[in-house]
Order: sequence, then structure tokens, then C-alpha cells
Amino acid sequence: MSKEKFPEFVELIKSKGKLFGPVKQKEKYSFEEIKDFSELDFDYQRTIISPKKFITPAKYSTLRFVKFGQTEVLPDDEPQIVMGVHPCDIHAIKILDRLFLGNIKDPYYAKRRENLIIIGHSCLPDDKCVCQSTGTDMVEDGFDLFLTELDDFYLLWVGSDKGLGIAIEAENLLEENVSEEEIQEYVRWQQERSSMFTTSIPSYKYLADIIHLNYDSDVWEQFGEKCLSCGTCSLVCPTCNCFHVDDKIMMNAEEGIRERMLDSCTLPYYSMVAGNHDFRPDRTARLKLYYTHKLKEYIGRWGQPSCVGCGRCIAYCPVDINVITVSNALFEEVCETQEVCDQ
Amino acid sequence: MTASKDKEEISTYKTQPAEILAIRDLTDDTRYFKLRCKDITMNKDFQYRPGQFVIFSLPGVGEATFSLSSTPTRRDFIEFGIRKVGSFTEALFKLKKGDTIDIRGPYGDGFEMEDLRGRDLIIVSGGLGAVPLRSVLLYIEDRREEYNKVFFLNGARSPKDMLYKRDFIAMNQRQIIDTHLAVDEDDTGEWPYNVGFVTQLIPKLGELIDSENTTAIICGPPIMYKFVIQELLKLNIPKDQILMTLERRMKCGQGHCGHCAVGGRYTCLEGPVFTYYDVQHIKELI
Amino acid sequence: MWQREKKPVVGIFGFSGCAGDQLAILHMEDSTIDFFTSADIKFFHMAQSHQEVPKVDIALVEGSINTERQLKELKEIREMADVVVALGTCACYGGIQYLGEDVETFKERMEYVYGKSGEVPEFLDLVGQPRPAQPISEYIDVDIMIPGCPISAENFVPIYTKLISGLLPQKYPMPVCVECKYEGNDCFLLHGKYCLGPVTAAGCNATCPSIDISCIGCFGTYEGANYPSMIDKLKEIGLSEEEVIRKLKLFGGNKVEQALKGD
Repeated sequence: MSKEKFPEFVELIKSKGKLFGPVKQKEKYSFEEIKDFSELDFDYQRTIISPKKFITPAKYSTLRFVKFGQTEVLPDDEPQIVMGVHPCDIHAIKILDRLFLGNIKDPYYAKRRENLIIIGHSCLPDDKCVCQSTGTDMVEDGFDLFLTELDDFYLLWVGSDKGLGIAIEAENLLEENVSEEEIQEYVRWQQERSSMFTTSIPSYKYLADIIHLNYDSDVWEQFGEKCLSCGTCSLVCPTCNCFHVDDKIMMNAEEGIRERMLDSCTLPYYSMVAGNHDFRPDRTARLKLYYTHKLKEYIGRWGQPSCVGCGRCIAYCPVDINVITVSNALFEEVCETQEVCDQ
Repeated sequence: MTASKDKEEISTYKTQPAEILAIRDLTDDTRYFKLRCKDITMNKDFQYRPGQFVIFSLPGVGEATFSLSSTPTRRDFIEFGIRKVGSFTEALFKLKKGDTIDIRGPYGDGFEMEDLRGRDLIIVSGGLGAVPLRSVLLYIEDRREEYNKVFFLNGARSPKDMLYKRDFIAMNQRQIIDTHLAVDEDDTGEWPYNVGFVTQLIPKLGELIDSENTTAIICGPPIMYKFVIQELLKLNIPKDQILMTLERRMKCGQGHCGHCAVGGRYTCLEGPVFTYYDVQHIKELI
Repeated sequence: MWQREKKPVVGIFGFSGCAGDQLAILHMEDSTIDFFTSADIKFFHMAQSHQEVPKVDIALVEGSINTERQLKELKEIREMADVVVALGTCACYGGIQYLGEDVETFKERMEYVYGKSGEVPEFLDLVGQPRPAQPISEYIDVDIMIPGCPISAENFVPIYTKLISGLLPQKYPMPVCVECKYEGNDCFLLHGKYCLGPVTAAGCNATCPSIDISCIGCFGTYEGANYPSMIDKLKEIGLSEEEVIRKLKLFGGNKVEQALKGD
């Protein structure tokens, strides 16, 4: 598709439902509702909150009750389309899908997910992107459409029936045949992009073992001392999905809602059970849970860690506790204790 | 008992109303609740195993998890032993006979009672741990011929703190299960049974059991596990035949909310029953 | 849904403070009518002219304790009410006036204003002899704290409605940062600007950060706060230790005082 036709293409997509896309707001980017093509800004690295906000919103009700009765609150049927989603965030949605749409389906997630159309967009890395290490820098499925932006044109990938439907409708905007030159340009771009990554997670392949070996390391203590328990890491992480549930009664004391809100395992009462027994009373234990669950335990469960290398923890933790600093520190610890650095 | 079973697809948080048939005090702060699903047909569908749990919902108050204390061998009602410890139970204790509670479940992976057929069993509970293990005990009583020697050791702080004291004393008298009741301290001076920790009763069982063919089932306060497991290992009971149920904070019961994660496992899906073999390397276990 | 046994009698009492929390209740607009019908509001310091104190089940107490007479009245409230709620940051943690609680300098200040005796003369004594400001929890058991300067309706209503329904609110401490990220805001600390979000209790829906103003901590302390790390972070972005501590103490009251002493 040539670039001149892109605005028209966006118009077409907009007719399918509520359109969201990356919008620049001061120094930050955020997925916002798009009224006009000009609001879109695809030249971005990362939004603060990932597109998980469309499928596991920060806060929503699951139940509404009145004096004598209750009804389950399911999300609206209105289709939502999100454009400009990077490969890492698509991988993250695939991870969330596995969790929420496995044997036991979460009805609220399922409904939102069903109504979400994902249109991916190619990106170029900055110094915080580590998706090459995590193997999530490219994506082959999990989207409906994916646009790779090259100098003069877009390459369009179709990833689902829904995506195909849109592509068919947009037939007159798309060029049917991709020329050999265009493919060559794509390959060149791909190689150039691969060489642009400046940051990597050391020994990512062995990270699970490194974490296991360092379970009792002082490194955790040091991070625990720094951690503010502010929960930012969990809320910005595109794969963090823990939630807290609370019932709220309205002022008339005769009706209310059951509300689900995003939670973080770094918060003080996260693992507290009835009788105020807390399994993880200190910051160190909670932070250790965050990183072991994400980088080690997920592998045992799903065959892959739940880090997609989006760089959000690197960009947004106020005290620099992130997948890079943690894995670096643990890696160094292994080097010190086991002298395997050179190998 | 380790891998989670392929459960049929449950895709909803829908609850069903259950009526409170009876309430009685077990101790100062613990009560017995007997429930029955209002929709009679649901009672038949309510299949569960000892060790599983149910989530109660009181709209306006919230949700909370409770271990089933009744046995699936006795149909048409379910029983619970509940301690008043927080905002939910505070409200729950205000309910009366005839009131309704919304329930969903059962959840979790309970004890596979069929797999234990023909084995010697040592069942050890402390404090509130008696709640889920009562389910196991009643199940065994109803199908006693399927099991070999069965020992039940139950500990409580003092006679007045012992849950299901009446039931367990009756059980002791029935002698279907070799029951040993212990209190840490006998402040009444009239306790006819053991005084001391339950762990002290375990070594005596050594001569009575065939350790290779023995399964131990433990539930109690976090501190109890370590000592009981030590004693059981001394009896040469295989690590994968020490079954324990763990308690964790839970919100959903469906492996989604994340709160019950311990090591790589979700207590609500793969637990609450774990074998010691499975969890011995999980560092933050107890 | 949960059926309460009775409609409780509620009293709203005010001690030293700007009365902003009482005003916030009156200003809830959509909920104000429901507020006056869902419970039996027998006493409302700000909203009524006669000031006899009736027996109440639930007492919402605003303000810090600054005089002998207030202290006596506070104890009476505790005696008669089943549930005492500290309403607003002054009642919870002492508020801004807690900055002057230093007993030594308090004496000096009293002497400076009232002469050698350091006591308020009888003809001026309308509210009792002054004492250094303290949160109500310093003198009585407080069942629930609802901080805020002033309280926010979003935070107040769900806690209050549980209380009038005969329930205990669930406690789950979160910092402002959580709500700030719910709103999708950027972080001041990352741009070299100070913000007390990580040490401040949530409940305000991150009102200030959402309109690009740093959090100054008006909801008081967050239970999981890590003060040493927060102080290091603020020093790193250029504040002096003195400045940092002053900022923390502004609304942190006794809790910050205790936390800083503990380190």
C-alpha cells in the first residue's frame, strides 16, 4: 500500500468500530481514541500503558447488585480497534490470552478480547528495547493486520479472518502484487533494524537457572531496599495481569458493584491471608516474586518467560529496578560465585 | 495429584444460592456452617473431592474462599468450619439459619481418595487444619474397607480450641479410625487424651505402619508443617506420599488473579493439595 | 445484596482543622441527598446550628486534637460510639498543624503569645487550654482511617457505606502511583521533578498528577512506604535532605515522624 492511501485506509478501519491509536501527549505516548487521522503518531517507542488496557482495564465492574438481586456485568459489544501495536505488545497479548482463555476462560477478558481488532505496526528500537533478547522483536500471529512501514510504502500482513475481511474491503487501496524490489527493501530494513538494538539481557537463555541459583543472593536484598513498593512495574508491564476485587456499596446503601482493579505483587498486602498472616511481608520477598514469576516460573508453566522486552520497566521504574538491572546483578553474582563469566 | 486435571470448561463467575441449614459454634471464634443449594438439582451436580474449596459471595461484602469440611460420600448438603478473622467472616457470622449465601466452585485439586486405596494413612491436623481433613476422615469412615490402617492425629492449643471436638471424640469412640487427640496445654485439667504437640505422637506410629505403603496427609498452621514433615521423613514415608494442603490469598479461584502463586504454581488450580516432593524446593512455601 | 440489621445513627464531629472534610461531604452533590437518608445523621457539626451531642453508633471525627476540651470531648465520643472513624488527614495523622507539635518550642511559643504563664487567660479561654496538635489516634482507638485533605468522595463513599451497612471495610493499602498509572500518567520522578506519590496513600484518584501537578502527600502515609529509598531518590533529583523531610512532614504527621525516627 502506498503511503498516500494510508489516511483513507485508516478511515475504512474507523468505520469498523471505536478506533484507538498512539497519540503524543507532551513527552509521553498513549493509546487514545482517534477522531481524526492527524492525531495518530506512529513514530513512537512505547506507551506508558500497553494495549492491555483494552482487555484488562485498570478498573471495571463484574457484578451489579441491588437490594434483592444481582446481575453480572459483561463488557459492551462495541468493537474496538487498536492501531499501532508493536510486536512486543502483540506477544504480550498472546501471553495474556493463554492465561485468560485457557481451560478456564475469564468471561470479562474473553468478551473484550473478542471485540478487539489488533492492527500491528512496525517499529525501530531505542536503548530500552530488549525484545531481541527475549525473542519477541518479530511477530507472526496474534494480530488481525500488521503494517510494516518502509520508506515509501506499507507492507500489510493479514493475521486473522477479521483482518482478511478488512483487507478485502480495502482492495482498491492495496496493491495486489509485491515486487521483488519491495521485498528486497523489506529485507534490508529488517537487517538494519536488527542491527539497531543496543541493549540486551545477559544470558537470557539461562536466566531461569541464574535466578534459581541466586534465590538466596544478597542482590534481592539490595533491590528490596531500593524498591518503593509503588506498583508501577506491574501496572506498566504488558503481561502483568493480577487483579484485586472489592465490593462497593453506593451512597444509598441499597445498591453496589463488585469491582476488579489491577493489582501489583509489590504492594504490602498482596499475599496476606485471613488472620493477617502475610507470606511475603517484606519488599525483598515481593520483588523476588515479581521477577521469579515473570522470568523463571512462567517458563515452567508456559514454556516461555512472560517478559516481552518492551522496556517499560526500564523506562518507568523510578528507582531503576528493571529486567536489565536485576538480570545484570544476578548474572554478576553468578560470575563471582561460579566463575563462569568467561565461558 | 500433581498435574492439574483437564477440567471441563468453566467460563463464568456465576454463583448459585445456597441456604444455611444449620450453624453452630465450634470454638469461641469458629463456627460450623451447613449449606444446601437452593436448586435441588444442583446438589447432585455438586461433585467434589476432599481438600477442595468453595468461594462464598455476599454481594456488598465480597468473596472469600473456604475449605469443604464435609464428605462427598454424604450428599445433599455441604459443611464448613469457619473462623472469624476478617471483614468477610465478620459479616458471615451475622447470618442466621435460613439465610442465603451465593457460592461458586468447587475449586482446586483435592485429595485423590481412590489413589490411596489399600494404603496405610497418617492424617495429621492442627488448629483450623482439621476443617479440610474432616472431609478426608468422614470419607474414609464411609469407605473404611478400602483403606488399610488409618491413624488420625489432631492437635489444638487447648481443649476449648479444638474444632469438631464432639465429632472427633465420637470418632475416637467409634474406633473406625485410630484417633489421637492432643492439646498443647490442658487448662481444664480434665482432658482425657494426650497433652503435648501432635508431632510427639508420630514416632510411636513407626512400628505400626508399613512406611513404603503409607501416605501422610497434613494440614495445619504454617509452623506445624516443618516439624511434622521432619517426623514423617524419619518414619521413611516417601516424599511423594506426604500430602499437604496450603493456604494462600485468592481472589478468583481460577488461576487468573495471581495472588495464590507460589513458585510456578497457582494454589487454586494445582493446589491446595501438594505433595511434599513437589514443593520441597519451593523456597517461600510456608 | 447484604441486608443490614438497622439504619445506624451517625455523628460528624469537628475538631481543629479547616472543616474541609465536612464540607467535602456536603459537596458530594450527586450523593448528598442519599447521605442524609441512608443513615440517621443525628449530628453534623458544620451543617447544623444547635450543638447538643446525641448518642451515635458511628462517629466521623474530623480534625486534630489541639486543646484540653477537645481531648475531653474526643474521649466522650469514643465512649458512646461503636465505631470511630478518623476523617481527613488532620484526624488521621495530625495534619499540617502537627508540624508545631514539638513540646519544647510549643511552650516557648505559648509564652511568646500569652506572656510568662504560657497559658491562655480565662477571659479568652473559649475552647480550653491549647496543647500540641495530635491525631485522634494518639488518644483513642480509631477503627477506620479515611485520610485526605480533603477526603475524596470516591474514597470516602465505599468505606462509609460499608460502615453504615454494618460491615468492616477491606483494607488494601496502595500508593498514589497505582492510581496514577490507572490514569496512564507519566512519572515526575523520572523527569527530575519531586513527587510524593510513592509514599502517599491512594484514594484521590491521582488528581494532582493527572493535571500535571506533583503529589504533595495530602492523603498521608502509604503503609508500604519506603522512606529511606524515597529520600535518596528526592536527593538525587536535587532536593536537600532538609527539604525532603519538610515535604514529607507537611502532611505525614506522626506516621512520618515515627518512620524517620525508626531509621
